Amino acid sequence: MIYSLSRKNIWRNKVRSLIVMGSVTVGLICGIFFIAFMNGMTVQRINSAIKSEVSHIQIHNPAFLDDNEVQYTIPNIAEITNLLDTTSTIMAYAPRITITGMIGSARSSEGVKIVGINPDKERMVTDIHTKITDSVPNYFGKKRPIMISKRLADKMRVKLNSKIVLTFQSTTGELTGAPFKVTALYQTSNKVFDEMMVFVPQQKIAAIAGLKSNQAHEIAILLKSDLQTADTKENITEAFPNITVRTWKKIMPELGMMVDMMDSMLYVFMIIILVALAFGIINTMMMAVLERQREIGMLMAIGMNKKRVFTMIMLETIYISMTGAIVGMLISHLILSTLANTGIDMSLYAEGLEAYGYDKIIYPAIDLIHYINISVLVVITAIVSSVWPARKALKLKPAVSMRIE
Amino acid sequence: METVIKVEKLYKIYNETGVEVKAINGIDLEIKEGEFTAIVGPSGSGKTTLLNMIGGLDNPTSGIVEVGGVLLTDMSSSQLIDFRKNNIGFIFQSYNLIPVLTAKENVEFVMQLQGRSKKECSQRAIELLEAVGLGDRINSRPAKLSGGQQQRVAVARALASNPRFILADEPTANLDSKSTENLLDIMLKLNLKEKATFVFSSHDQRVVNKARRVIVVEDGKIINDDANN
Repeated sequence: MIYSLSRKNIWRNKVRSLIVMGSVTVGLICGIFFIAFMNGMTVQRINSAIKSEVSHIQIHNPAFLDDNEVQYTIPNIAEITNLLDTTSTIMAYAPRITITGMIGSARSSEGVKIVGINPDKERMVTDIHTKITDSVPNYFGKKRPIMISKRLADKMRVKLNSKIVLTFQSTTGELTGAPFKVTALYQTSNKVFDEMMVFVPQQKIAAIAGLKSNQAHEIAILLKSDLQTADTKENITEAFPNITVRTWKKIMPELGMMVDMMDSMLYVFMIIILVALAFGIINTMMMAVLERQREIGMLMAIGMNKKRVFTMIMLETIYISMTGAIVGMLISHLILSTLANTGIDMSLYAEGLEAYGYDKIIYPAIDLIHYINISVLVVITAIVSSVWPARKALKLKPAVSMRIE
Repeated sequence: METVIKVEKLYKIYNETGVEVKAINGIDLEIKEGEFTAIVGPSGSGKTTLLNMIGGLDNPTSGIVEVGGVLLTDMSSSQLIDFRKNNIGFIFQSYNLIPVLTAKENVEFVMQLQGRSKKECSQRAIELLEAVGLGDRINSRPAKLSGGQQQRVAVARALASNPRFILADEPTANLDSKSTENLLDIMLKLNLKEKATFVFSSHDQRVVNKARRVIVVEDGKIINDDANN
């Protein structure tokens, strides 16, 4: 009875109720869109970082992380790769040689990280091969091929088939180097990555550096699910305590921090929107109570107790808020479903975004749990907003209220 | 017949603007079960205030009000609400129907407050609306009803909870003469049928003519009471 009466009461003043619902709808659309946009940016950045840069887990020799010297390769690599082969959570892994060195052309030289890869294993772990913009046929099958980024090529004023020289320290501590031919150019959305990383066949660089072909400085591991990162890391560490096993959050702490803080920050933003909306809701409900003083007095006169009066006002507030919220969420879902396919073109800010590793097309994304949490926040806002008007109604004295015109 | 409403040494004094106003200035009154009593007097005489005291809608400054053997003056506001729900039906001057509910829903409302079943509420609501001549308007909202029709719905609502007492404050004030006549006949008929004690305030002579007992109130005091004559 109270539910039915409350539902009917909100349509007594259609315009006013629609305005409040509209404000809740618009507020929610803005909030949800913002959450989806930021979430999408974060998810894209993390996926890009995992897929293109760091993978889920990396293994190193602890001394290599301290000194970055060529001789500090991963010990017991055969046993480690055996374990990785039998770990069900692992999708693929790729051993790499990584050497800090210089790349030089006729016109300039730059400091780079030389990554010696096994192309077949590498393509299972990263998507760098999908970022190639230009290449010669069988680009890694040449004598001494090197893949560099288009940004680096432009910076050094080299192009495909150009010769460059890689210089670095060998295992004996001697400075060594060799000429390479640019056989592929790539481009990612991460400017810093592009300018730092050059890729060569593992065998070729191992021979020049004085390493054996099966030695590696780094093993990058891609898992079947991000949720298994912590457990897999623990298992490897337990089996091989003499190596350093790091998750992507540890390798890129700024991203890890972003993930940890993002949800909290987004909900704080949503709460700010709801607090602002609450004032409008309180104002509307207060007006509704003051306009209906005589009716509320009559209801108490004929036997409606205070609990029911309070419930009626609270339900009216919840119905108005939730109707606006549901419409807001439906519209948000429609907008986000469209944008999930088309993305939002942020080319105007491409340079800035790429400096931080973000793509210029953002695909907003939001999980079902966010919709549920927002619904709960709306109900809480409605309940809190209803308290003051409901208390106002309860203070009415029937004999006094019914004299009001 | 049993005395069902008793008022002793009743005073209601307002002091809101620093000036003392004695709305009720020492009233003693007894009303027997089944009476059809009119409380008459000019505007400001205290009739509505007296009715509010009897209905437990207002608290006296001093004195006692006993209704159906229960001392209302000792009750908390929650207890009074409960008492009214189960014992008193109200008919107001301005009908005071819930505008978003139909005639039937308005009548059912009090019964639903009492926790009666949907079926029972529906049956009794239809029965009462037919008794007041509105059997064909049960699904009309108050805005679609005339003043007289709305007041008849209010009468049906007042009787819906099977109250022992019906208190009506100027029930015919906003009605034309024909509607007034109809309403009073209905109230008399229902007084006999439902055996509820009717007490109503009015300054309408037509109403006074229909009452079986007339109490005249002036300046917060009873100046004439048929029961004493």
